[in-house]
Amino acid sequence: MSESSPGRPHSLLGSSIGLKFVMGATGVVLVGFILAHMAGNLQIYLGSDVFNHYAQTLKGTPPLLWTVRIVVLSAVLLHIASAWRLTQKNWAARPQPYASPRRYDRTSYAALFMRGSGLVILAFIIFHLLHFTIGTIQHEHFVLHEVLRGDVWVREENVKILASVPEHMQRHDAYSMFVRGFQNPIIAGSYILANLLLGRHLSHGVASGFATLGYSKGGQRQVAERIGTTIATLVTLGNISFPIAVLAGVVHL
Amino acid sequence: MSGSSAATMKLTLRIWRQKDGKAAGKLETYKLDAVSPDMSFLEMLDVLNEQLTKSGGDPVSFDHDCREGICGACSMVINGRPHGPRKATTTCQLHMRSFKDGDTITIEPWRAAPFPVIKDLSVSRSSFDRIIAAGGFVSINTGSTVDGNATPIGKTDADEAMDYAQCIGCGACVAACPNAAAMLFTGAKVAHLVKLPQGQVERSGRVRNMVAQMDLEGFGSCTNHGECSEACPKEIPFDAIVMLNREYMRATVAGKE
Ligand code: HEM
Ligand code: SF4
Ligand code: FES
Repeated sequence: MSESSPGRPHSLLGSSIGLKFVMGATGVVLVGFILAHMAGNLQIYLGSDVFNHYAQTLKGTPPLLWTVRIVVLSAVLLHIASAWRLTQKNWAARPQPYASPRRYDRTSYAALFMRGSGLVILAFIIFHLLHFTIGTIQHEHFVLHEVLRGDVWVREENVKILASVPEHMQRHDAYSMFVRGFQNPIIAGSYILANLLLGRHLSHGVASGFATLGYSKGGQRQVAERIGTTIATLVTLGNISFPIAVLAGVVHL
Repeated sequence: MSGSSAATMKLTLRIWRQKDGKAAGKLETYKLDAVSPDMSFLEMLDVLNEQLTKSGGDPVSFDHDCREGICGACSMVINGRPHGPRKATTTCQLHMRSFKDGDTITIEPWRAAPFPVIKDLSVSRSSFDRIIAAGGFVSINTGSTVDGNATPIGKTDADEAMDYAQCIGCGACVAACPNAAAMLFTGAKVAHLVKLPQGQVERSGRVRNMVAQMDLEGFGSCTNHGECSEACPKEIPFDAIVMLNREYMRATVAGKE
């Protein structure tokens, strides 16, 4: 009886569990990206030369840069599209709410507010790209560059001088953009807030993703939950340390 | 001294009243003066219905059959929890000693589109029957009697299969789930056969068809809150959902027959 009966949808993407697999698999890609992204940014603590060299290397390797960009962007879009479809189905499954509140015994606020935290993260992703990738927000910091004098890189703010220096002798001053950006408390605060919510999203999301992908049976569930808590804690602490370090003056120009 | 020892209780009941599937319902308030703590929850409702009938009112419709925790009929959400406050206990097995004198108890039907209200607290759970039917048959040899122990089954597999097979199809998992998902139920039905040799022949088709039917009925999908297994009167473990995910992946992504 391996045939499906007529009239039953059985395409993977049409099915609830298939959509959940998409959520889980894209979640894995995004978590991998977020960990790598944070690890890369930790180089801010090693000073402007290391950090700007790192930024220069990324920008200087377009095949790598564009592969990562395309994979991550598609993962985000697929993640959101499946979240949207599953949410619609879930709302349709309970058109009439309980008249007196359901008492929950096991779930968490993180789990109940996945859509909320997810939407804030989406808004943050757009804001973050406009800030540090496209440079629409705080454009004045985005245009900062360093030029090569002998064998050291030095900051150069004079636009006329920059225009006269050949391409290979100047590089983006990502370090200064980073530091000046977070010297603005509103910008710093929004990064902190978004990353606290990202932490909540991941604390449920990672454990949930394990269960969806079939790892959570018996004692595995606790392991999955621990991994979720660990990743969420690492990402939150690592990411919010950047604006805090700048505001505290630990990382400075 | 025999029988009831404790004093009787006064209770306020807020019960969902709905004439039929189309009518809009609402919570109505009733008072009961002398409820024995030794009554079961359903006996308490019987007393209310007797009182309502005598005074010319319309008795509250609710489902019940075995009244011993094995049929799964007695579906109702009591104070925000399916089957009420006690763990691993169906409504029929819940006793009034779980409540206190002067309590207000709110009683609602299961809330899910695939469980439409028939009247008051009674809902139709035929969608569950159709999910089971979609699972189809199990190939077994119906020739001469097979020797005992001809098909050995390991102790842990047998135990696990029995744990999943305890599901009585009550629907509390759906009622408890913030998404009204039926994955604990469907998972239990899929998993108990996966653990047995008899379940192997139709293994992949069964999970594909049961999941397809589950979707077609309009249930939501699991976001791993774990409320279902918490509410389940038979304590079907959350593992059933992990098993369902694994089996579905094996049958679709890995394409195993
Ligand atoms: C952009 C907006 C986002 C939205 C609207 C969103 C929404 C959701 C929703 C609704 C769920 C499933 C709910 C549940 O399992 O309880 C989920 C799960 C998840 N999210 Fe997101 N999310 C977003 C961004 C992200 C990002 C940036 C990451 C990367 C770290 C991420 C990682 C995860 C993971 C790992 C899961 C678990 C997948 C699963 O249950 O199998 N999400 N997300
Ligand atoms: S899994 Fe538990 S709660 Fe769900 S139908 Fe079966 S017995 Fe009821
Ligand atoms: S009436 Fe049969 S389980 Fe409650």
